[in-house]
Amino acid sequence: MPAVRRLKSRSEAYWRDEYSVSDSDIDLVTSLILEASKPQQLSELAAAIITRRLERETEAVRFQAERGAIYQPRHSYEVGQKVLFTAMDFSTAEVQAVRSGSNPKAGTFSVIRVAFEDGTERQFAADYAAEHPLNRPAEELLGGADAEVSDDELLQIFEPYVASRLEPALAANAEFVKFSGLWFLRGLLPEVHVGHLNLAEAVIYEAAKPLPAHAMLDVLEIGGAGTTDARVFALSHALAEDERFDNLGTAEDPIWYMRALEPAAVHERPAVLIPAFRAAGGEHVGITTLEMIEQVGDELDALEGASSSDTTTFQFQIPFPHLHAGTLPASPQFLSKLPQTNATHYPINLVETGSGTRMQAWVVPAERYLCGLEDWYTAVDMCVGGLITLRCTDDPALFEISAAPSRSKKSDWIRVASVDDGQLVLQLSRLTMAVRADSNMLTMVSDAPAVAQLMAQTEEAGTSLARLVQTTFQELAKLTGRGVVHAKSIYAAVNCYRRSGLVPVLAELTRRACYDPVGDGFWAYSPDLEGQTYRTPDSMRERELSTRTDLVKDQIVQYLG
Amino acid sequence: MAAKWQRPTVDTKFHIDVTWWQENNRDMRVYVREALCDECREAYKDYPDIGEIDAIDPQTGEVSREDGLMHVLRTCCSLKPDYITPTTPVVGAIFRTFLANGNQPLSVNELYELLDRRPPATILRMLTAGTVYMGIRPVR
Repeated sequence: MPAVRRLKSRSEAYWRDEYSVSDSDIDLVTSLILEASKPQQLSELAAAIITRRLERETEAVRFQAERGAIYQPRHSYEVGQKVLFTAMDFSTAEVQAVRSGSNPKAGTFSVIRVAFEDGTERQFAADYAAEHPLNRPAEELLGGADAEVSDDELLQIFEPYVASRLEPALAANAEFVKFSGLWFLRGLLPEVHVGHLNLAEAVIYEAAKPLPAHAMLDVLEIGGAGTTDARVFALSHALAEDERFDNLGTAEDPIWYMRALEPAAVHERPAVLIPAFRAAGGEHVGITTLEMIEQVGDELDALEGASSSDTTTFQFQIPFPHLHAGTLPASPQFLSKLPQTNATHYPINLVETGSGTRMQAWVVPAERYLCGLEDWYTAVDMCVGGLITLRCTDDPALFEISAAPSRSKKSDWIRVASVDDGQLVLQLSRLTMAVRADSNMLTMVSDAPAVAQLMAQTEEAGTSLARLVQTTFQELAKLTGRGVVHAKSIYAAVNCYRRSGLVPVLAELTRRACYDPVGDGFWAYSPDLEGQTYRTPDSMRERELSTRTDLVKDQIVQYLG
Repeated sequence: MAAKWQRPTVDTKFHIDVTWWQENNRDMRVYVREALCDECREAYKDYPDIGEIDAIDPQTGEVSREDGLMHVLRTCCSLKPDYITPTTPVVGAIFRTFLANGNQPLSVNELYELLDRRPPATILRMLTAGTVYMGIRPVR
């Protein structure tokens, strides 16, 4: 039974189920923006609507309570008497007639016919002493405020309900204009024409860096009548409508750049980087492989929330997909070193160690990569397995980047990857490398577009990781005298078929009985054990099915990032 | 123009068609009285024809004129656990369901959800097989 009638404006049910935006609300929003002469957050506008209603209703109740009686079924009423109905939105009505009630179960009572101020007539029980929620003390019926909930708390609770209705109402009203969560009156917008936009483009090109809207105001000479906030809003709104421009900042602090100057990977993840196999946590791997995982630095092996050392140096051994896409992994640890922002992408500066050459790269936090490194990869003659180091500097937006030069200028036997008949083919060729690389991952890709095409085909075929590990193992084993293959070599080759972290590859090797660790990260293959798996950490370590004498038992742990 | 007849489905809305009772010279109120709980039957034993009463809204105190029999059934008897029991015949249970909800139309699927008795297809067959039971018919 409802104990106390609350003021309607203090009821969540009202804002959630009944509230709709009225003309009066739109007038209030208009006057708020006019008064402030600057764009307003939707939440501020919604809060103003709620606050006004709270105040008005409280005031109305006080006023009505002073001039009329509070309706309670137990009371008697006389013709002509004014009555406040707390359960009828605190409306006031005048008693028109009184008659006897007829209801055998309810006993003796009266019925009053009342006329509300809008002209409607209704009947209510009177002289009805039975139990009824409205027969509680009058002060409880008027006590709309819940002592345990403050107005600020009410605003927080109700604001989303109002905002979700106000936003479409404003969007449907041609008088209002929105940019990044801020609302303004179209009539107050200083004019921004195509000439301004072309000039803005020239200004950004000339600056060769992103510019905040306010930095362009004076150059563009946008209507001086409005406030600075209004001019910034007008310019930002116009820039946002023009596909040439990209906001690298936030709604409150927009920073504008040209899309044409940004790498494509800023806006769309390159197909070769679509993750197929990534660490989920809990995979069983050998304890000695943990260091290998750290060396490779694959972002698909980084687990959210995993503890890590507070390093300022990040090293990577780059797989084909990143090399081809001109990207680098951006682990949560690396991202934590960057300026904290809500932007979906933003540039950082890189300076090459030694040469001091400066370049720009783009961070895409959601995709966990840096992009825009194609030219640098070409310049340093980067290869699969190449060692790359990023170091923090005193400036959080500036990092040192280096690719160590190869120690030897002599040629060496190096794996070369190509594609033949839908398969990755690996062969050894004598080549000279420009950059230092991990010898187990090092692979030259002779026809990168063909490998990218192979990746697309493999994705479409939905080939399993088990199959890819087996295929690449056999291809790699041909190149070695002992028939053993390093896990990193498999990882590098698998990444020419599908994008994969190292952990899923290691987990596959560890659980399948046909692969046995033979030390230093190398694995041997026993075709007669194909299809058999070990299910427990102990069996993965002991590998009871193995007949190899060179088996090296490794303690098995669950991968936790 | 006459409305096109369509075969009722499990989503077709049904209700108690009061005109069916009149056309068949049957008094629906006899059946309604049978559905009263013991307490109300006792309270109204001196009122052979309750007629209209002043129903008091339990939240607002507003008074509305309602059929007294239907009112007590809806506000008292239908809320009691033995209003519909597992032994109540299915058609009787459907009839009492409509009495309790003020004869708001319900589909067979909705009746099945409320009663959990017999599959919807079976209930549909019972209500549309030819004989009209207790005036329960599709809403026209």
